[in-house]
Amino acid sequence: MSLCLGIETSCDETAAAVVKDGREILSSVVASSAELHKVYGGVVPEIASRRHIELILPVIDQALNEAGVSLDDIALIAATQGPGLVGSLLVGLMAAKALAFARNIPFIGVNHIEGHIYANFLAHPELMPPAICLTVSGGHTELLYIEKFGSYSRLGRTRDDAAGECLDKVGRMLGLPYPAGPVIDRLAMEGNPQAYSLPRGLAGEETLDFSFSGLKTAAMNEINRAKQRGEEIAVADFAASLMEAVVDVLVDRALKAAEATGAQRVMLSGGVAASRVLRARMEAACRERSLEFYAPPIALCTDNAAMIASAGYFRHLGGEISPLSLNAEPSLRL
Amino acid sequence: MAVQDAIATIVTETPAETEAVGRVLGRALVPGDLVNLQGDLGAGKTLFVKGLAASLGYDPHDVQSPTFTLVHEHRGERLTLYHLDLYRLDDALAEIEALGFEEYLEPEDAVTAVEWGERGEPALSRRRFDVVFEVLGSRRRITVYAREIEQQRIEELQQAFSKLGLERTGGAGGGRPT
Repeated sequence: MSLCLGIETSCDETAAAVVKDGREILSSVVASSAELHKVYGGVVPEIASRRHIELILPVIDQALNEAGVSLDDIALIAATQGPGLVGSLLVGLMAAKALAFARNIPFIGVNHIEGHIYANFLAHPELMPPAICLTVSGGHTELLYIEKFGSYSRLGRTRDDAAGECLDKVGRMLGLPYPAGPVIDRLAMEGNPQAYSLPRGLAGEETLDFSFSGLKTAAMNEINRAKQRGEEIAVADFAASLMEAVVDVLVDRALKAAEATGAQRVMLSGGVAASRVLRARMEAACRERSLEFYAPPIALCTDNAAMIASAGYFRHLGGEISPLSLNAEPSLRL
Repeated sequence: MAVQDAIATIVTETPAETEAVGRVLGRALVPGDLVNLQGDLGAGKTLFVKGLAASLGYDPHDVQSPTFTLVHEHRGERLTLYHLDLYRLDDALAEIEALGFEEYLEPEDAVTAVEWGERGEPALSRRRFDVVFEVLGSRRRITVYAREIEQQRIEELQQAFSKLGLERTGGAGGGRPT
């Protein structure tokens, strides 16, 4: 049995978790400043950085307590190295390195995007690569092929806005509260997805990349046009049409990626993977093609440290270890 | 901000044209330059930065919106490019200081493109280009202002902009940076 302590501070969540053998979550503590952010309408980095410093040690203590273990039982410490805000990343990375050095425990730096993949390996203990993983959140839209644990190739990514960013920005134009993504998802279940005609990014192009900037601009134009005419936007219909435009493209690329690689499994991860519309559409599309579909429970879709611990465990299993000189990398790539 | 004269006003009809204007400005950049981009959501700011990045040798497809992540660093070519977005900073000045963003906003050995930079205007480098985007239906009016930029560079830039052949009618009275 091997216990890994995971630490995640790349954005606004301060998180720590203890994971057994890379698959079993013994504890997963997430302290989020999302409530504070709601007041401001976005990530408030100044608050985020300060809160990370205040929260990091209590959160680690709580993760150890809830798992019923002490640092003496920990065989590996994993922390997010990037991508993210350097000031936020440093808090978690430094805590991890300090603990590793003081207790002589191996330490490993993990890519945040890589971490999201492992949310699925935690949620589905029998799941093995190879698989396609589509990671969609406010800051990222990445289509990956996981050939085996620790071996990834990027098949596609957004060329402009992330899917979640597009939903949030259009939601803002519609006057919806932040974060607008979950509200749009809920409204979309009630609305007519054919009510508004919105474009699909990079339609007709042979690519596994994504583009949501044109959709954002088209949605903005539609909202402005309605305003100028004195017409009301039917918000539920608009949300459904917007969601449809986003999900169409996400499903299309994931299926193409499965076809191109021969992978039989498709996984979702990231905050937008919590979308019921996306899950339902992706699951149906996979079933139609006899592909296996996986998505983590909501708590593992958003940022957490269990996924970092799991990713770190599997890297370490392959013999990897990071030097204590490892630096935070704000623009780290997989 | 003091009233300045525009060095160019350009009306673009397609996203590709907006990106091309960015490429022209990118070719004129030297270490220490800041480009401050102003305009509504969907006005073409990130697209313009794709052009800037391309002229510096980076793959424009790697230029993604930094709205959520706040900063993207592009390294490895002739010049390091920092791409920032202050859209979500509420108390921008305090947060710029707390985050140590001064280094990005007063670059020394690099160039910086900042979206929604007006939110932290006092922290922006004095020496900079302000680029204002106005949405005219499907067209965009792009007005470029130069602050504390050498006259010779301005003249070269003006020539390069006019070679694009995009200084169409309808360009008069461009928006002023606030």
